[in-house]
Amino acid sequence: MVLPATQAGPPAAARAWLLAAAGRVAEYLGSLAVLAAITFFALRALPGDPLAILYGEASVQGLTPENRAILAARHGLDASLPGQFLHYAGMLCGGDLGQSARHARPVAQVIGQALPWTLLLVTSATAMALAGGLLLGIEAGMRRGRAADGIILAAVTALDSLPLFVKAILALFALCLGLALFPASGGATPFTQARGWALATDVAWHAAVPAGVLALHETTKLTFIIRALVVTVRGRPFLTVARAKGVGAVGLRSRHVAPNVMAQVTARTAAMFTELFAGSIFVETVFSYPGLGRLLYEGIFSRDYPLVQGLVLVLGAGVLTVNMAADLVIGRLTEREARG
Amino acid sequence: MRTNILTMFLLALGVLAALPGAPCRAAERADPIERLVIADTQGDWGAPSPYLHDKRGPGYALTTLVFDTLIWKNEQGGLIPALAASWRTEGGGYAFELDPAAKWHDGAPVTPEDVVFTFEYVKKHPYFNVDVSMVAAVEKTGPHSVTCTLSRPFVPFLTNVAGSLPILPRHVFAAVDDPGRFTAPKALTGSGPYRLAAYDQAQGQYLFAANPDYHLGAPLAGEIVFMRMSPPAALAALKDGSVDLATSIPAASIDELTAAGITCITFQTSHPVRLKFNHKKPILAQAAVRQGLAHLLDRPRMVETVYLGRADLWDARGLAPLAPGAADLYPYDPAAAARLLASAGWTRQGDAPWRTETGEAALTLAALKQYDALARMTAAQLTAGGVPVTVTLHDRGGLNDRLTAGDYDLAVVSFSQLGDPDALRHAVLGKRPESDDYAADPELTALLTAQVSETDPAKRQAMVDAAGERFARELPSFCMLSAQTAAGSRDRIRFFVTPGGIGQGTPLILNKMAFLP
Repeated sequence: MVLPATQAGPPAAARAWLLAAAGRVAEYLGSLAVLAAITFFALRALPGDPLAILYGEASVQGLTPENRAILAARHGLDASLPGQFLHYAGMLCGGDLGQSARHARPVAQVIGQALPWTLLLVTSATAMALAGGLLLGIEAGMRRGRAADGIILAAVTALDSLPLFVKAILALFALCLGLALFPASGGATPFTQARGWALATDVAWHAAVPAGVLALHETTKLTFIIRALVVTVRGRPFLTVARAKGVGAVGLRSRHVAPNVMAQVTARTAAMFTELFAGSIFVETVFSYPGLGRLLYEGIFSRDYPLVQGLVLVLGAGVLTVNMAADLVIGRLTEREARG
Repeated sequence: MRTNILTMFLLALGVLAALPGAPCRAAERADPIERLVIADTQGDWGAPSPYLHDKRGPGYALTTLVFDTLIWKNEQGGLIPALAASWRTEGGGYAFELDPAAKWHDGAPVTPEDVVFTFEYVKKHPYFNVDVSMVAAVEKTGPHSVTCTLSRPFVPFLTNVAGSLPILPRHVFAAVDDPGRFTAPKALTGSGPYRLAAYDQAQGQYLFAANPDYHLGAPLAGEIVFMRMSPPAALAALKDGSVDLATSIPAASIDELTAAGITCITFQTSHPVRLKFNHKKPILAQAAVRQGLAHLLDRPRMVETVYLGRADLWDARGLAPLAPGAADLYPYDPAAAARLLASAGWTRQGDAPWRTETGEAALTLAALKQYDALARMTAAQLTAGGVPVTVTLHDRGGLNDRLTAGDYDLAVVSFSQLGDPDALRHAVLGKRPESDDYAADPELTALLTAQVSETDPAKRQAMVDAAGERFARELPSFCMLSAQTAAGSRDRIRFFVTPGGIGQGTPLILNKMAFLP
């Protein structure tokens, strides 16, 4: 949905814009509420007693009924399912995501520590993938049928055939363990005292290979899409006119081709952002990199309901936000394209 | 599908970790040790405080660096002083004389009031790693003395309670009503050899700083860093000297690491994998059937194929690995299996599957995904022996549900049998989903129940042995084998494996005594 550009006077335009914005916010919040409800009930539909999973391995004797009752009360599992849901909804309205059963800390705190690492990984990978995909896709599309196109397609096809975790392991062994150019574990030097630029450099050095692997994985997909888009654009008259006007190769690609594929590329990038969240779990595991993916995986298997609910909500909000932003950008780009 | 991919990926990572790399000489012993770095594949085990740590063994082990128990275990598995300088049996309980030099990290002395408070507190707020239900009362009897009176004789008290329960500072926890949510820095006020200097939950990293005033002597390493590392990264770091100990190394890497001068400490996990029979189902109700199925399993082949030789056959009596040269009660013996199954009324025509009165003897086998290979090999061997078996794999929750509902014929399960022999009672009579819950043999039940109260060690051992014999005969579950694990060390500190495990039986190399002079 795109906020309306109206021909009416300023007050009417402002009112229409506000109404549309309010509708969009309501849609956003409604989607989150539905997501929260689905997550709540879906988690409880998973097999297994969460208390037995969380505490079952603590000792050989297992849980007595008395201890089970104490634990159920401690983790808010002693009420009926509707009662638990109402309590959860009330907590959410108050901005409380609850207490992680496994980590014995507030969910917001657990997520808050991991979120920046995932954001760093995913946003830097998105930027790199976008840059790489545009470069290779436009070049391949513009040189369709020529040697460069064949080389790019062959390389991209070969890379695309490797699953993400294989790429990650290969990069770990080649760049981190073999050549020892990058660290093999963690998001930063343990308990570093570095600050400012030194800290930023340390973090970037640790993120380079994990983010690069994620980026590479998505670059291949973007390259195929952008190449196909460019192939359809390159025969259009405006490019012929531009060439006739003497626009150089770089100008042709940056000022004429790229803007005309950006709407579709932006839509694809928004979808890619969510794929990167899913893919980050492999990269986090291979490089022992901190982040939400591993947290979510472990949370599901340990039946840490509050943590998984919080994570899904935060990831859902992230995806919705990215999609909304993409909608706005696509709207602008489409308008621009329509204006020619 | 995603889980399968992840499993494949983890397996691939493990295999790749075993690939040879550049050998590197181990570092010379440096003294004093400023910082010791320990690599762990999991990393985050929660804050090292009794009510905050992850409930599994490593979470407990890290907590014991910060919090002391009354007594502890040494390298030989013997009980040694910790907060208590001495102890003795007294009436229906135990008396402890506290070490007057013991102090909390904030400088306050550790007092009998703290001990009394701890037992009262864990009664009110259960600490699930230690069961104190047998403790009737704890009283201060002198300036440094406390006595624990038991409501019933409980022989494993010293190891399972006094040697496992972290003592809490009363002046910190007295005002805390919900210890599971008490995450303030004060929750980490212990009396152990190390304090937690920093904890990065997201990165799975801990920084422990030595407590120079520790009453048993200043620790050898000024700092200990625990950090999450994938197995290949840990191996490389171990070889280049940036890591001093890797708590878990792949079996296939041991020879390579040893050649590189790294000390590899291989030890038994004492988590025997048991084939649990659903003895409540008519088809498996007869002991002869269960014994026959056990004879169809070629366990040495499982050890070689699934564990690449890094596992030990477990004694069917339940408590220990099969001693070298000892007779295996259930060797692979299809002829013996056939006799036993036939004696139970099963019939077979040629190579066709066995039949019972109700039809073909087809069984289901449920297992955790981590036992995929072992479960499939078990099923294949039983199928080859004429008992078709289909395997279903689950996560912990799914398996628990099936076990609790009795919706299975066979299950591959495992939990620790390390520590006090009372573990056999929990395995046979316990109510955990993996337990046998087997009360069909009153003599076995009586022996297992009585041994825990028998104070004469020789008599108790005889009772445990007799229970083991009956357990092996009744065979509600068949203890097949138990994996070995290995740690790699550069020997800057001499790590060791504690017989019987630390605490109640945690099979880890991280006994805090290794860090003490």
